[in-house]
Amino acid sequence: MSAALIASSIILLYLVLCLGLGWLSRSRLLPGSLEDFFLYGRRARFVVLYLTIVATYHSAFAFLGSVGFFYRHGIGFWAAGCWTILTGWLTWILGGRAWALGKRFGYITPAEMAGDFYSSRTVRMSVAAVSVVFTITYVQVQSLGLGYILQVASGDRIPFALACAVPLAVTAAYLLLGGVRAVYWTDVLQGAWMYVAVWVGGLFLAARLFGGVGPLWARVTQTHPELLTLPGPHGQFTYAYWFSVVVIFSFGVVLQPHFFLKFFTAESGRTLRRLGATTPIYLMTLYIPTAWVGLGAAVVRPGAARPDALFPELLLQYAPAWLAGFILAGAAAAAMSTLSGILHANMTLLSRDLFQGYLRPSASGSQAIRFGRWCVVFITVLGFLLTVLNPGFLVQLVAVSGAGALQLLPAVAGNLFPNRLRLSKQGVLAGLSVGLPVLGLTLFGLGSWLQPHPLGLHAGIWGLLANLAVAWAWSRRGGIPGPRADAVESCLAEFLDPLSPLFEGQPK
Amino acid sequence: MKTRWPFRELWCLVPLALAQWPALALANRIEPRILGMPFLYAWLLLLYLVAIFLLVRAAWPDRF
Repeated sequence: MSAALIASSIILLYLVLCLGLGWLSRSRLLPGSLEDFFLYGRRARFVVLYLTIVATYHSAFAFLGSVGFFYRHGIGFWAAGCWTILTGWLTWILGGRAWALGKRFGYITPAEMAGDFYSSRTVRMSVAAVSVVFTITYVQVQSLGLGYILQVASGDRIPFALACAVPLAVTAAYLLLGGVRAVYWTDVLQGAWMYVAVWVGGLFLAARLFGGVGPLWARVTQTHPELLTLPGPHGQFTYAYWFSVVVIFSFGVVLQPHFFLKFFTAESGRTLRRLGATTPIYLMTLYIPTAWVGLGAAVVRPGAARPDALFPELLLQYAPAWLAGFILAGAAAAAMSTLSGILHANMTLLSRDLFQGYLRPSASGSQAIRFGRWCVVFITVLGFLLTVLNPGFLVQLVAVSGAGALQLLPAVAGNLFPNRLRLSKQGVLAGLSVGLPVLGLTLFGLGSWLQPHPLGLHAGIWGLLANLAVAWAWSRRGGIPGPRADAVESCLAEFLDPLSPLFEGQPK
Repeated sequence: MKTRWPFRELWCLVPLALAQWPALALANRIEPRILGMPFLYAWLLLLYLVAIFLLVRAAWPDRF
């Protein structure tokens, strides 16, 4: 039996295992309950939520894209430690507050929360639209990664389009079967699998190719010292770029709906505080072995055509087939866990905010869930088509997605710190309507008039700066903060009191 | 009524600032063969771990 057949068979077995978990979770569904189907009944405990948060954060980008980045641009990617810790901190600060408001007022989506706070359907629809539109590129990232993994594992016998389509279909299928419970159950499996796999893969390749991690560093220092200095061989990692990616990969990712929605599912505020403190350990240390692989690959595989596919290619060349299959299934787990989170978030936003909030306010829970299931099918097909028609580097695609979600910061922060920031509905909408065009302009440039990413700062940062400035200034022109500001502050004050029953998650 | 800014939690992130800028400056100016790249790598890791420890300590005030 060929190595490619063994490796791709192990990945396919893993896909069947995920489908089985989806099928099992189906029996636990409460029919017609939106909170159960979309939010796990707000009962997610520490271990489940830990693994689902880390598995959602780390995607194909972490497994494949970071290796490609270390390979091309060197050690600068180690700023990763910074943005993963900021992500934990934001889980604590923003996540805890959002959880408290969700628990008290029954919110299911961040758009619903913002719309209620600002008493504006326009705000609700704007937040939902930005969330959905920009996560479509994230579907593309995961689909692209899954395509690379399965195609390389099969020794190029499975065509790229089919290699994208099969895992996409499996992910959509288990989500359709079991809702968020299926997503969380599979995330537990995937979060554990991918962490073990990336460490085993990194250690194995370091030992096999260099005789260990120490000799690997020594070889890279001797042969490619430019990879160990900043801003890297192609001048990528400037201070402005560092600042941009730190903000986008922390604030931007946390504000993406597939991440933010998870805050509403926690069992208690204390759970989120502890998650905020401990998830950075997993998030940060996952990049240690990918650094070894990326830097080591620069020594043994100079001039690679597809740097993002180096990890699977090296494994298939140097590792036993069963081990390569196990590790590549871990890479698939990283991509699929994020993908299922995105599909679930979009399904929730479209069902709750578009269907129940706008198109058919009187729709029942069962009708909203049925609508959401059709949305999953539509987004899966759209994501597949975008992947096949427009493949690109994973890191760049992730940055665009995070940059779009970053534009939601004024609306969300104004909601979570209402009487501190005092942002009004008009201010938030004005900020968003300026921030998004600025993001587009600075992303693509304007011929010779404006270069993309002026002064080296990512377009997302320019969009956010414009957005914040306009939201702040407009709100000072006489607009009032959301009419529910005092009720929200009162709830948050209760939440921040460690002796409060709300902090422990008890119903009020 | 105004709830407080999260300054109490913010100081846990101080090691990040300590880790980032000096590390970048070092990497720009010091020849890696002299200092040894694992030093920089380990230094960043250590400061990240300090930041995480501070967060953990704040999250479990009764245990640490």
